[in-house]
Amino acid sequence: MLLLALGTAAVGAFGGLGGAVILVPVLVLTGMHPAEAAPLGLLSVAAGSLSAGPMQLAERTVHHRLGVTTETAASAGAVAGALLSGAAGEVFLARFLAVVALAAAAASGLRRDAVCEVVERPPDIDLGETRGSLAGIYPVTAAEAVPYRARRLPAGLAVMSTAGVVAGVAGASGGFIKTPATTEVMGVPIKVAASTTTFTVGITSAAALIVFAIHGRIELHQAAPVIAGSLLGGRAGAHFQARFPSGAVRRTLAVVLVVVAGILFLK
Amino acid sequence: MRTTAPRRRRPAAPAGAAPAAAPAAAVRQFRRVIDLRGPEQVRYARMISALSVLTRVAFLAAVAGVLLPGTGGTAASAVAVTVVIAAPLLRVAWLAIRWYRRGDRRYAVVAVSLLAVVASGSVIAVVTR
Repeated sequence: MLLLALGTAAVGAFGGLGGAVILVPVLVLTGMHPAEAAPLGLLSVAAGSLSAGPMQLAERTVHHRLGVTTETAASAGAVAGALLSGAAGEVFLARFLAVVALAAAAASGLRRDAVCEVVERPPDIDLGETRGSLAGIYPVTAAEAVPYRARRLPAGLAVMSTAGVVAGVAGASGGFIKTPATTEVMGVPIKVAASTTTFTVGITSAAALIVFAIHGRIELHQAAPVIAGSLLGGRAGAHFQARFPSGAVRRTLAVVLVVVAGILFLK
Repeated sequence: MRTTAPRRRRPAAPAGAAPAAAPAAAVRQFRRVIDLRGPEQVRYARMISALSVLTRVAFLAAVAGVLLPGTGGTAASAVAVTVVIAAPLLRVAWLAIRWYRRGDRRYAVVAVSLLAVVASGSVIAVVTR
């Protein structure tokens, strides 16, 4: 379990999807009930979010106000999904997981590098998020920065609630929905969208994990290796992502996820 | 892939920017104050430290949960799970207090609403257990 969590977290972080979307289908394919695999997937997500926090705060790319605002919808969806998953049958959960894997494959394979507007950075400009609004500016280099403002909030909230349901039911982070939605629907630069999503998936996971804990669905002897492996693997994946191009890994991940989804459907 | 060269524009001068050449003697008349417009790295320094500590605690507890047999291992695993679940919620609570203190009441209310959603989910889970 430790090695599996480490490997999936490292590959997931390197490919920009997170480890849970690989870990949960693999656990189901090895014979675990989807309802038991979902909490382990969310523990992996929460551990990854925790370990990435300090670095992303130092980079000034997390927009807390945007994250907290959109997370109200996502957490409600996650709680609903976690409650629903307790009542759903194994076949439904496995097929739902297959659909999630396909969606993640599409998100990974079709991901694009968005264009952003770079401005010269005055020495005393306020960096990071702007107080009292969903706007901000993040530094690119010592001389350049990217200003932004989130728009179409109602549409963003609707998509986030869907991502929350996916997290609660399938045990995947939903980050593969949240990041593209924040970028494409709300017009936030990819760097800020990815960091803010990493922050919010921790809250989504916590909301669903509390439900799982109260329902007695967290196996502690399996949780420990998942957390340890995810903390190590997530850090290693982020380290490699910063140094090597991840395009080939993303495409390979997409193919693997399509295969996993196919097996889940047939199973 | 949509890849075009980044467009550049010169930003407007930030509101409240200090005059370029203020006399040194005049500056000395004022007490030094904390610059609230400072970079996020400084603004969130305590949060960064706290998250780093929580990450280490979660990792050590998880490793202990893997290695220790019996109730010691179970207790260590429980600590790791608790830290991983509590950390993001503590972060939101921290933000709510921070925003309230600095006059950003609207987003403080949003943060409290988020915690209320999580709390409501917990109550529903207890009822439906």
